[in-house]
Amino acid sequence: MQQSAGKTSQNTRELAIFQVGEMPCGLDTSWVREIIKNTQITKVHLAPDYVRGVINLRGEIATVIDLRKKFSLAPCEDDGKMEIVVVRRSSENIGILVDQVRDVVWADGKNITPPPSNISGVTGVFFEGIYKMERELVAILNIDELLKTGD
Amino acid sequence: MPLIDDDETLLAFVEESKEHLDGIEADLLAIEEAGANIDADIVNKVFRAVHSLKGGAGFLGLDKVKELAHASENLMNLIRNGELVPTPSIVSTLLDATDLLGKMISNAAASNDVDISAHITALQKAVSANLNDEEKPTLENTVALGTADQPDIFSISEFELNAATKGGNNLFILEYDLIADIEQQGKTPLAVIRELQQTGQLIDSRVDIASVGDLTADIATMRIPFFALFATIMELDLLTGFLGIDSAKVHAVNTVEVLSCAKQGKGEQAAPPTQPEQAPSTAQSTPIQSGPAPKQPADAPSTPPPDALSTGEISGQMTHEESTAKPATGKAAPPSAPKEGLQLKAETNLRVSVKILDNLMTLAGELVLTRNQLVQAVASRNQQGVDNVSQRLNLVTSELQEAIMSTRMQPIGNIFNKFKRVVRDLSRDLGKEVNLIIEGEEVELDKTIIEAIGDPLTHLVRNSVDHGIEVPAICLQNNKPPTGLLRLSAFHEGGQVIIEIEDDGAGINTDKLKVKVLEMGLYDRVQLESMSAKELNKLIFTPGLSTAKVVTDVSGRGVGMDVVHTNLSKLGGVIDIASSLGLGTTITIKLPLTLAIIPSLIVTCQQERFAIPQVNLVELVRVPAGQVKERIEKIGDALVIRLRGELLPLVHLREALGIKNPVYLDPASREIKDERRVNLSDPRGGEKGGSTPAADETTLQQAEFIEKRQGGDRRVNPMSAYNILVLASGDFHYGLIVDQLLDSEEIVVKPLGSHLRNCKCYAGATIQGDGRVALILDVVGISAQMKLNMVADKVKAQMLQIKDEKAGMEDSQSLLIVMNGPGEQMAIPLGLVSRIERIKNADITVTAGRRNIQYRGGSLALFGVEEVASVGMREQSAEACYVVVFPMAGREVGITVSEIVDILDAKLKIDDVTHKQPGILGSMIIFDRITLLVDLYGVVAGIMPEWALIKSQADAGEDKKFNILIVEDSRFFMNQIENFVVEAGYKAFTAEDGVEALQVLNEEQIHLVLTDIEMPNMDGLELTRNIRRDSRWSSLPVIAVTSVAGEAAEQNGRQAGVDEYLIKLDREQIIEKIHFYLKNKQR
Repeated sequence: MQQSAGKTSQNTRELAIFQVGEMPCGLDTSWVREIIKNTQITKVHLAPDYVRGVINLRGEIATVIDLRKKFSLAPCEDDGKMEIVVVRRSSENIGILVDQVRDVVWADGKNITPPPSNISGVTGVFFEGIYKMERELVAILNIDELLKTGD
Repeated sequence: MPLIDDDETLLAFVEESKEHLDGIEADLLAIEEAGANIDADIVNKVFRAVHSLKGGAGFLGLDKVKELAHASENLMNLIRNGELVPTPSIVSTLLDATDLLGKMISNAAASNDVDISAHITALQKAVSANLNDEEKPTLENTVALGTADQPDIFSISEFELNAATKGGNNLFILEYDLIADIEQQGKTPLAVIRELQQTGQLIDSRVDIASVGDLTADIATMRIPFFALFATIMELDLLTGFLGIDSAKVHAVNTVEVLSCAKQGKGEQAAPPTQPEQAPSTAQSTPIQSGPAPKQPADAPSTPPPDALSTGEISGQMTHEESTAKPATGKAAPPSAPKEGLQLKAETNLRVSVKILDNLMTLAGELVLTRNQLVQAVASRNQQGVDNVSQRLNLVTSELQEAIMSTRMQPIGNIFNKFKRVVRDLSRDLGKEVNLIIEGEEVELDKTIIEAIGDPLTHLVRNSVDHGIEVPAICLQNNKPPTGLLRLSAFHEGGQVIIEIEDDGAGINTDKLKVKVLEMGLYDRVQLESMSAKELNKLIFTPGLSTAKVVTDVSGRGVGMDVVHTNLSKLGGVIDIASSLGLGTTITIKLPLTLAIIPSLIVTCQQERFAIPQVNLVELVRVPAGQVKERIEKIGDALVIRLRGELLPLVHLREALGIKNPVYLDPASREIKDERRVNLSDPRGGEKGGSTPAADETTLQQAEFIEKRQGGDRRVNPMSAYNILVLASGDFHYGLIVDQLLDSEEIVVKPLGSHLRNCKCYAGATIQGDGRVALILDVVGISAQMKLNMVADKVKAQMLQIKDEKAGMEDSQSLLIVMNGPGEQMAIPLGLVSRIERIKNADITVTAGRRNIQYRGGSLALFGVEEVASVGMREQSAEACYVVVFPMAGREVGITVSEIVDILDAKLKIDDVTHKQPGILGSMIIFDRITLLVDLYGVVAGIMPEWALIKSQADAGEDKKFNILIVEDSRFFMNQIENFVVEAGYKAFTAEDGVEALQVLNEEQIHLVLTDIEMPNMDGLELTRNIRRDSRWSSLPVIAVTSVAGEAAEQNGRQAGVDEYLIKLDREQIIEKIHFYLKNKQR
């Protein structure tokens, strides 16, 4: 994670890698504000199904988006272990519920390719690219598409 | 030159200017109203305000602002001197200029790029229109004035020069040195300016910053020349003595010469001939002093002279006082590019009084102290200390909250005063005359509310002027004064702010509305017929509706009123309309004081907590399990509850939120589990006392069995008590069924994220004491979600039907249900009860065989039903009991009971035979139990007969036997009333309904009528109307006796002509009133 300034070239991006179901996802760290665990999520009835609920983020109310739901994956068996990646978008804090945050890596631009139309059954619009790691492929999230309010 | 690079100075200027401009607008309107009767004070005020604006703008290099302000000032000067009558068109020109000034100032950085030529021309035209042809060119001719050293310090128009020297004024240029003459003398420039203005007219002033020199110059020789162009009646020698300045610094200006020269030059920048064309500059100043010199002056002001006044200080004060300090360099400023970061938004700043800030400081100090104490107390594990601190913390926090809230409060006058202009412009456009009266400007509301109600209020005001107020011709036709009245008022009432918009115009034509609504197919004729006048008026909030014949650009496009309604509802406001055709309309808006922190009730549903704003909460109703079946009904698919004779639509919060899998909290494991059944306990087994799980199990099985057998829906099954919140959603009420009521809390409202915007059921969220988030329910949203307004309509239809059916049936009576002896249920007519008190049995003292209790400084005699009637004894073992207090024979007496069960409205089917005995009027069935109706008077009379003696007719000093007609359809009440009327010495006649009563009236000589309201064939109101219509009985006293007294009902009665409205079983009152009316004979 400790990288020299030289690596921050145009073609290198810092990605937070986390697991959603079977799929490793990446998110540009410039979005990420913090990662929280073990917080009480208050359910919001009648909300869109991908909204898991709301949390108290130091006095502010943040909406929590369930990525599994968003990607139409099966719900997680052990909710308690899930973590929330808090991103800030248009002056609003939004939590993204993921299975597990794994790592932060520097991704070389040449290893990033445009996304196919469909990744493990999930529609490709949610991704802005695929980062090829040594052993696996990481789907880089398109945060704007992901957090669209849909109306 | 560019702007002074000082955000703070500019900011202060902008803030101050806005205040000035607001004032100017209001004052201009006042000037217009006064017309030729010019109020010198107001005109002067406006003049000075514009002048300050001009000064400040000049100082900051806002040239265009200065120029426009200057042109306005010229025009105002004429008004001030009485040379010009402020006609509406002149005032309009000035208002337009003021508007533009406001716009330019809010975006000060770009103000120099604004095209103001049109406004300048208009202003100049207004000025020149008043001048004769000879004077006109003087407006355009500019004259340069200066001293021998500096020939062109000032440049003013010839017109101004003429104006200044009018009346024998002499013109001087005064030369001050800000350092030597002012600063070192302990004066301030402002004081000097004020001094000058007292003795004459300060036409212009400038600080010659260009001649300041730089920091390398010798401090001793540094000087900041400050020139003032001054017109006064004083002579030179007098002036120097008066002002106490060196005569060498006072330069007389020979205006005649100047002017003649100016005429020669025909408006060119001609220097006075007495001065050399290029005078050598003073030794101390730098040579650059005039002409376009964009480079140098740019940094001059940003490096202010070290010991001169800072620029910030000057501009900060100048808008308060009249200051004309104006830098010379302003003249040559090229338009500066708008700077980012200087884009100012007024609403980002708030004025807070120093007093409030001081208070906040003190409280913050308190808070720190409290924290220290808390830390100490916790460290030393001093429980007592912690308790004290927590109490203190509670106190400080609430005070702090209050103080912070008060910083957000703003007077509503801020928006009210804007309407003067709106109304003026609009009435001019529409050819109407409107007298706008504003009341309660000082009423304060939260900033956010003030901002949010601006638009809806504007719309309502425009609407009132457009649709309400009539044109003068029509006013006269309708016998009204030609000037319409529009009253805007605000006041506090019950923790809310009420805003009223009242006009004396045409009123709402409900017939037209009906036609329109029918056309649009929103309601059918039957529905419209059943609507009250209030409801009809409210139709104007229907989307897409407009009754205006012609669509104007003001209103009448059918958009707006519904938006007004929605926007106000969003703020938690309630809007009401009262209107009478031809007389006017009053719109009443009720608003909460603040939105940020609201008192609310915390409830739970399925173990989740929700907050409900108290402002929406009307009452809480708990329907015990045993009554669920009889009080909660179904109309179509909708649940309704009977509440005091009304039907209220009901909704389960669980259903409203679409919770599909009910859960419950397992009492043993404290875990939340999926619930298989709707409710757990079976209350029919007795509401009280915890039943063992085993017992629960069996009753559950029974219940299930019953359910299966009946095949009915589970809702009707009385499975558990219902907690119902009666909520006000706009104009109708509904009940929300929740699982549990927790607590009343003040909550801080936090907005929900963008993904949840579409969830109309929530008004936001709040963070609870334990850090968890609770959602705030939107009462209006829920009713919309569940389409409750449709249910409400259905309910209303049902009510009408019920009312029809009910005609001729027994009245319902409000009863207090109590327990006295074990298992013996009794009822007391609620209308007779003053209070219910809980007392300790130990506090009861027995004196002379009678029970008493110390009560409110005196003693209250206590009676028990069991002392008179043969009923079960009250349980004496209990610690406390209840006392039902009621008035009797001029004093208060109490009846002891062991338990209060409920208050309910019951239709009385009284059996007055079976259980009739002293102290008991009769019996009825309530909650499937025989319930004894207590005769409060009978109980007391049984023990203290002398207290209960009815003042007979003879005691009241009457000799003649009076005839009283009692009209009552219930046999029970008829007997009761007849008994005590006869006992009081009157002759009683009876009738069972209005028709019969009229017959009796025809046949007998009746002196007074006592009538029930609800009766078959002809009800009491109709009877009263008939009586009043007949000239024979027009002065016959009519007393209505009823079981449920409500203000509305009472008003209806009074309208019909009833003299008195009394409670049926309150015989003391009834007898007293009978005495009263018969004694006074005429009503």
